[in-house]
Amino acid sequence: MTFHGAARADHHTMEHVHESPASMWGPLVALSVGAVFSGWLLHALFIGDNNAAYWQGAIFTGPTNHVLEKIEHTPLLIGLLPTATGVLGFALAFWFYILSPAIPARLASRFGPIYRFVLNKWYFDELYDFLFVRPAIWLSRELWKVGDEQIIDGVPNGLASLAEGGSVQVVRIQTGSIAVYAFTMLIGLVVMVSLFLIAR
Amino acid sequence: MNPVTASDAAGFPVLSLVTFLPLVGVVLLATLRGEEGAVAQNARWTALWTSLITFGVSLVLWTGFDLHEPGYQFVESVDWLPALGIGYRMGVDGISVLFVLLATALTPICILASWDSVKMRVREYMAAFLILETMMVGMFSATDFLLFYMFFEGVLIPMYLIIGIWGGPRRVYASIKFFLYTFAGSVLMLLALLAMWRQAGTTDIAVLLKTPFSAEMQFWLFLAFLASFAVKVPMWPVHTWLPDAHVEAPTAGSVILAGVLLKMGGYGFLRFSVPMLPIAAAQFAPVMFALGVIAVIYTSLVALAQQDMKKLIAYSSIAHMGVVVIGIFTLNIQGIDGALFQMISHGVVSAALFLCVGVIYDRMHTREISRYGGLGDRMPAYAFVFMLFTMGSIGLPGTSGFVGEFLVLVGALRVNFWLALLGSFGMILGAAYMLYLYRRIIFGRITRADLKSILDLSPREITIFAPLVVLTLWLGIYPSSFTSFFESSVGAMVQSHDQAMILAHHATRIARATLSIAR
Repeated sequence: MTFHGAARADHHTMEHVHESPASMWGPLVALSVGAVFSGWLLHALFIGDNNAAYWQGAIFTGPTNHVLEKIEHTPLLIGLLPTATGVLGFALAFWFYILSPAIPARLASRFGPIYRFVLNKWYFDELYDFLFVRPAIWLSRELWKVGDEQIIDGVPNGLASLAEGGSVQVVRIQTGSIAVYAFTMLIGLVVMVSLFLIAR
Repeated sequence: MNPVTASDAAGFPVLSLVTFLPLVGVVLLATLRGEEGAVAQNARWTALWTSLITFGVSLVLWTGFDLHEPGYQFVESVDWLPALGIGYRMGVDGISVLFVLLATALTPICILASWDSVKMRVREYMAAFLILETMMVGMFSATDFLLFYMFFEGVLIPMYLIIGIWGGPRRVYASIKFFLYTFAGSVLMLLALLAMWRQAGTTDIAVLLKTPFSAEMQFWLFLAFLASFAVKVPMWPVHTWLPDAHVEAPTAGSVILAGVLLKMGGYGFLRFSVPMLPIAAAQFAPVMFALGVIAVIYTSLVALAQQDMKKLIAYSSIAHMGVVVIGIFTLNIQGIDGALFQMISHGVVSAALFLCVGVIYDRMHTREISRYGGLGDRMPAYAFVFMLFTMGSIGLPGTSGFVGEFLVLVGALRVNFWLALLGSFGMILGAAYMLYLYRRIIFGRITRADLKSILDLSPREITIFAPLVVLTLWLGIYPSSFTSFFESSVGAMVQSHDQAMILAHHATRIARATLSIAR
């Protein structure tokens, strides 16, 4: 798609395409040397005759765990499978993108649901969003607005407004009018005297 | 009357000097005369030099501290009210020495951070900060309970003024809430102090440590201390004063509040509750674990929903302090080491995060997260320091945050698997809310026109951040420089706690045996 076939980018973009500078292809060359030859270079150390001296017991398995040994005895077919799939992938890519580039689009429209499922990474992001992110955000808002602001802060703020409101009410009783005070005293006297008489 | 007995290590009463040197600066500030602009400028320089000299003197504690001595060092003692057993006693041990240094190191940073942003009543502002420094240092170095109590309460006054005068729009509500919450708890601590004094006949902490209090008395004393220290930490559910105080406080106020004042609660637990009341501490440990775990998960979730940068960091502070509480009450070496380390680390990282908020608040005058975005384009240096402190807050290995959380979780794992599991949720949620914050502020494209001309860090701001960057990495890469200060003190504390528990165990067995014989 990137290197072969006719250019799909517009003329303007293509003008800016140029070979990368040495600072970019230099490391790439070094890495590609490693990618091609590292197996040949490290074979002797990693799995060759001297591998015990190299690893020095760094890979340890339990006495009943024989998984490493069993790997050695997998059938030949499984051993060849990676190579086979690789070659198959090459062939498929050559067919899809160079021989007849119309096929991928036709496949996509033919198997729409499967295509979209794969394209969206099996919808794992959406699944996690639904399972974890949304509930967490919802919960955090509830804890903040209800837990902290209404319940935990509600108690001291409520007490404060109770004291404030209460004192406003108490202030109202203190009118400063002597007539009201005298009336209150009189009523108090009447109540006291009647209580005294009843109780006697 | 005894003469001042200064410690051999320094040869002069270094703790009293560090404590009261800032007050000399306050006196100098009071003498400043002239027109307002000149007074403001002189006040800034006077405060800066005073705090720098204080920091310089306090470095004697770093160099002269004997790492192998678990008890008090640089001891000073003068009789004050000898008939009542009350004295002016100062000294630091491994638990307090780093907090003293934290306080003296953060004060000059706070003064520098307020250089341009505070324009009104500069002289009074600087005086408040210097008085606050005196109170903080005195609180951490007092070895007499009454003296401690006076400094502990004294811290409230300058902080109350800093929030109430130089704060934001809701400053009066926030400062009164701050004062009432912390003061209400402290009154109960005063009652506990009186009860302890009545039994021991002195307020000398060294004597109180050796005074055996009955299990029932320990129970009530612990509750009284809890009332005071839980508010200071702050623990859930008495934490709501903190977000309000942080939001309304000026940048430097938030820095010192998160950096030093939040450590007063954890320090109180380690200085009084755990060593003096060993039976009650073990008895209450499950309650403290529950409150710590709730704080970690609850406040981390609440942080996720915040739209105000300062509120988000304030809630993250509560979560980090929940980890500290868990660590302290594991009552083992790793847990307490971790709690102390977490407090030091949080003191640096959260202070730096509030400074980060201050940088863009000074430029845009808003803390609304949605008003920002894409700052990485215009402010690469800022993006770098903010990233570093974000990682420190999350607890990325290599930063200071990791060491403390790791040690606490190791300590918690020795107590209970589920405690460690639930405690570790804080790290996951911490990564969620901090990265979410960072993404919304630094990444993306600049969409707002007024952000297109925003300026990167000024030389003054770089000067402020540089020591904090160094400390965050130093704490994270070579924690031994700091843990070596408190290892022997914590070891002695855990040992004496275990002994007290064995004694208490024997006592109950003997009591049961006598009871059964009597029957």
